Amino acid sequence: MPSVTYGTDPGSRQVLDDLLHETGIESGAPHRLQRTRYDTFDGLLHAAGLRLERRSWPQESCDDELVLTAETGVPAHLPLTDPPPSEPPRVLELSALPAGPMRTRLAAACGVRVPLAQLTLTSIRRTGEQPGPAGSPLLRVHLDTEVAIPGAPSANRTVLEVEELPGGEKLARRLRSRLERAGLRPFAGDLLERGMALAGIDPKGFEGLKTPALDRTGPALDGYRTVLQACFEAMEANWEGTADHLDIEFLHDLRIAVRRTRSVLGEGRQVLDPEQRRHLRAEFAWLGRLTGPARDFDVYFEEWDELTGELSPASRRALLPVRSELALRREQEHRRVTEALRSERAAQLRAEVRAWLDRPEIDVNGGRRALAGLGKVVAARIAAAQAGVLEDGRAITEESPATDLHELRKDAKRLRYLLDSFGDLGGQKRRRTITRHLKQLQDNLGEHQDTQIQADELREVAASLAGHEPVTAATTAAVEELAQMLEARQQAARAEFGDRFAAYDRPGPHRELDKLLTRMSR
Amino acid sequence: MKVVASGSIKGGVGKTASAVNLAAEATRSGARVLVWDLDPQGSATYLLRVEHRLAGRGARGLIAADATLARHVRATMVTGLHLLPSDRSLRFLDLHLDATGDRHRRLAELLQPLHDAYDVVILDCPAGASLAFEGALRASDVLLVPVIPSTLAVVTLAQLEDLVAGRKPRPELLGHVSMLDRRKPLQREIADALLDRPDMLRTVVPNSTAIEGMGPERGPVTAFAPNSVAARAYRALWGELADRLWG
Ligand SMILES: Nc1ncnc2c1ncn2[C@@H]1O[C@H](COP(=O)(O)OP(=O)(O)OP(=O)(O)O)[C@@H](O)[C@H]1O
Ligand SMILES: [Mg+2]
Repeated sequence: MPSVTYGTDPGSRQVLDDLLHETGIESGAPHRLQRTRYDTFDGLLHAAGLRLERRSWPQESCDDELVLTAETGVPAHLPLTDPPPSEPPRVLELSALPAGPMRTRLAAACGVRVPLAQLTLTSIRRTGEQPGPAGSPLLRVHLDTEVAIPGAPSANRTVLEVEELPGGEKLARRLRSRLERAGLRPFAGDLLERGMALAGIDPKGFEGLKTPALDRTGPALDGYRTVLQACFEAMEANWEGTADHLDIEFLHDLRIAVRRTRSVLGEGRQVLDPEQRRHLRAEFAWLGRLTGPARDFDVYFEEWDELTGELSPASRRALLPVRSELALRREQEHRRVTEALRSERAAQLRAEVRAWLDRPEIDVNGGRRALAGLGKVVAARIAAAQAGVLEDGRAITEESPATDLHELRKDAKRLRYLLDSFGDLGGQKRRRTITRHLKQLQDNLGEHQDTQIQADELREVAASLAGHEPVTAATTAAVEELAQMLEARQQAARAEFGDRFAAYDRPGPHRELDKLLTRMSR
Repeated sequence: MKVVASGSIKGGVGKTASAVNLAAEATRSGARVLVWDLDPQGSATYLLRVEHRLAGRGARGLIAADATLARHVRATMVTGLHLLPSDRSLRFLDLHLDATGDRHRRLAELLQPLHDAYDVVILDCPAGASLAFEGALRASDVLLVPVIPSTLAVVTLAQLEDLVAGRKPRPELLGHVSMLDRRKPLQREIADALLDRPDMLRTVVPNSTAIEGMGPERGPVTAFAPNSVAARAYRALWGELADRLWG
């Protein structure tokens, strides 16, 4: 039982003072305290049972500090010796923290994501301690007055926190029951948690692109709009973070939403208004194309260590100029993304989609089959996509060119997106099984194509460097070594393709899909 | 959780000074730290202002089969730093350890449940070789040895090297120069020679009045002389150790 927090009202201040006095805990000197809560956009710290905050005392000369609290155990404190002026930073750069357990714990919980400021609140804090027989404290009590929470009604809030310390359990228990007898009510979590609730911020954070519940027998147009709505919300949620390039997951999640949007628009023939569909498809294709290279580079960097892991240390060093060039290109691509997301064209697209989604159903134009049952419409599409996969896949022989496999990859993606968006109409469990089979095939096709793209890119970068940089023979050799490793992987994927496809093209998986479609179109 | 034993065969070399000051620095660097005072004298317990007493049946209860260390832990005056206090009955710790089934492993077993609660545990060991010291070595990632630069220092290090050699798991032995008096040419010379060894940390803790002040002040040097040479030395020493542990 580390800490319990009590909300009070101005009237109970006297009661409080008496209690504090009687329990021997006099309120200490008042300090203005500013606390900012941090978590990743998708709430990874919260999910790991951790709370991270930055504390600063604007009117004092002491250092700001980071405090990391777990569900059990003592909170960890890290003074920040070179604090930026006044405002708490929006992004907490983990790489700027000293090597040590706090950085290690945060990095383990956050992965590639960065902690972002979520809420800042201020108060006047007094702290009192009840010392044990040899002088060290057994109990600490914090009294926060004038608590200001942005986005929440500003009463003259007073909050009391009883911090139980090891050895002081009995004292804490006594104090807590006293407070409760005096009419003070404890609330879950500390003051920052409470502030989050009052300000309407969900600590769980962004939960990914939602798969909304759909009505199988309702009009297809409504179903399509519901899915597009979910995509658009995910896109909007990740828009600013992508434009500011806070961490690489924003772009990734934005692209997932764009991709699904494009798929739904692509499958919307006769359901959506033709003119509008054509226009939106063009616009989202632009967005998709534009964000592709930046994501590819992000993946490159994520996988770089693994990619080059089998090379000798000398070869890895020789690749450094290539890596720097890739880093430059990546920066460039991210700048392009930022410009595009902030462009007039993007603003118009967002406004247009928002207006279209906000329009009441009755006012929305659709295609000829807009009012047909969603399940029937979608089942036909999925059946067509599956037919495409099977036809193209069965036509592939050992002599087929790589482009045939690329085509099959597109077919498989089309099917996959349809299943992701609408597959649950035929039963979630069954959809998952089918997706699992399909994914095996997709992984193989992805490996086959992506390794080739990476090998080509590496050679291209090396060639472009050779023009104006003093590139050593070692670099060229290392690039060739890496490219050949990638090509070996490609060949392995090619060799495995037959088995993978055969595993997909079996009566078992086919039956599953048939059942899914039957249930969908019932 | 990393466990560091501050220990040596020799007495009065600065084991407790290192344990307490490094613990305070570790706490200041964002670690959750527990000091376990294994010395019946209770110097670390005194310096961190905790009662020199274990709840229950003293040393016997501390290591009993059904014991949990957590119930003995106390907060200290350093926010975020916890202490498992000493007790006079720790004089008989070896006897009690001897009576347990697994006398060498018992301390490590007792620390196990604290694994998620602390990042660092620093064991302040009493001087000399004992069962308790054996157990501490068994539980530790690092044996940190304060070394006063004297002609016999190398002999002590060699003896400790023997003591840890061949163990599985084997704690890393790391020495650091303690109480260096720069006015003495011989000490300077020996210290320089010691610093050439790969098992010595680079930071030197000088002979300092601030450290002597820890007794009367009852606290780590950072608490009452944060800008002193001694406080800076322990900060640097902790930095070096942290790099070894997490770098
Ligand atoms: N760097 C230093 N400069 C001056 N005095 C020091 C220094 N380090 C320790 N001392 C003093 O030397 C004495 C012994 O130090 P300390 O208790 O840390 O050693 P120890 O190895 O733990 O001793 P013991 O073997 O008794 O446990 C103490 O009085 C302490 O204040
Ligand atoms: Mg000692």
